[in-house]
Amino acid sequence: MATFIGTWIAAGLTLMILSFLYKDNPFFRFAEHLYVGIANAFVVWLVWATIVLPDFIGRVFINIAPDPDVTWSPDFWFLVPGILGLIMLTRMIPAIEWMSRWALAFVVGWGAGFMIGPVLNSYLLAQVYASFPWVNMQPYIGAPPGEYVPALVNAIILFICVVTVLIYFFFSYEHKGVIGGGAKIGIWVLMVAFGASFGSTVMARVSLFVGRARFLVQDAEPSGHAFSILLTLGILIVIIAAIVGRRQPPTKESESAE
Amino acid sequence: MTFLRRQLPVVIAFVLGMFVLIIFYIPAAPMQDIGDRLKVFVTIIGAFAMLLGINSILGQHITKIRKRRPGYGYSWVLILGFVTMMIAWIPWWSAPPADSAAYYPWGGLENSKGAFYWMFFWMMVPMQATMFSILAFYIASAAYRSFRAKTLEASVLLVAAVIVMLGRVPLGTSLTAWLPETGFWSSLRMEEMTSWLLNVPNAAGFRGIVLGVALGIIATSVRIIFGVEKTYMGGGD
Repeated sequence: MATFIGTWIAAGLTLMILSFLYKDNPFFRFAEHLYVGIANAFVVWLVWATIVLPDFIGRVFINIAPDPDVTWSPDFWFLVPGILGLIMLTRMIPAIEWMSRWALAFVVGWGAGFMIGPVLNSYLLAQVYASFPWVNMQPYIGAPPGEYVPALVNAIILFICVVTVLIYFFFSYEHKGVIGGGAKIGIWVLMVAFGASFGSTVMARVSLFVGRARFLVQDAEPSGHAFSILLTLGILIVIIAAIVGRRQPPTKESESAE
Repeated sequence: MTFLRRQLPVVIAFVLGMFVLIIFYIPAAPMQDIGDRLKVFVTIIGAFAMLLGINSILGQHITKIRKRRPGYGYSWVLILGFVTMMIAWIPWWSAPPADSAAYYPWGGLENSKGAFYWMFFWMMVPMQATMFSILAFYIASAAYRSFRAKTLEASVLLVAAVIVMLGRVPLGTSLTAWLPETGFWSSLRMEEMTSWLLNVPNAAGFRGIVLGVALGIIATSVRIIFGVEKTYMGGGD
């Protein structure tokens, strides 16, 4: 029974959100607000279940996972982030709002120090290293020419593309002559990159849409003539949304703007 | 008082930033242990900070209801959704599975028979997926505007995007299915071209961007540690 009701609620909410494709309407707004409310509560649970309970309460106050083989004792060092967390909440009290800077400085300072090493290693040095053709050709040493030559061509193209993109982002010299030519190729490389990732993103979204359509057509089917009912329901939602949307009186903001 | 308000945060950021930076390069176990603890400390502080966000969104909607601003009924929906999900968190009407009850005694997603799981699975997941799926249409509309091949660069963007989109669907790959699967001509098959575009020019383009981003992150981090960048403290005294 829970699955039956759930299927219908899920289908209804899906249609309500899809109705936005026509125009903004009360059904969409209802689903949108419901989503924000539920998602916020979910985040509260997630933070509680994965951080606060195991890492804070479970280390300082109570043993949440009793294990006869392990002796549990409170680790009072973990009171420090608890206190800093409470200090962070002073942001809600204007008179002592400035105290929240201590907690914020802790987080920001930690983040700044923590980022430098890994970013230097994996975003900078490793990326530069992986751009050189001889590094990319290591796995192909001894490979037959049919594999080696295409890999070599790709490795050289990759290197040239990285260099030209970097030239494009280098603004200390005017983009003229050789630098200008390199920058021009860099733009093309970037355009190909943006086009490729744009195509990927579009297909990912389309795949999600296909998933939702498949849910409406197939998954809801066991509920009995689901597709025809859903189709009717969908059309009804769109019609009502259209009527309500057209009848909506102008808001105060739009009146004052006029 | 000025020290507590303006200078102590800078001192905290400097000491902690330098300490964390140094211990990254000291592979000794005690140092790494301290580093791991600090990581957990920050996530706990972040968890408390989340309450600020919840307070902000609920406060805003409660004010909207109290002042009866246009559309305040939707604020009721938001608050009711939030409260219902929070109540559903406590699964008093169904016993949680024996193996998960010990770790999360207050229910949640581990209890697949509870109301919380039901709301997550039948309400939140469909709405989230649909919300993102409708972006497909808006992206298509944006594509129409940006892909008009007015310049050579725009044409390159258009061609790359079309190849990748076609290479990801059976209809697109079937267009070049007549080409041989091995040898030189196989590289002109749609799926091969897609793969090449993503692995070579796409990787190179984003690598160039990532290198710039990395330098930016390092520069900003150094500025924060040495107190040059203080915008995180906000305005006022």
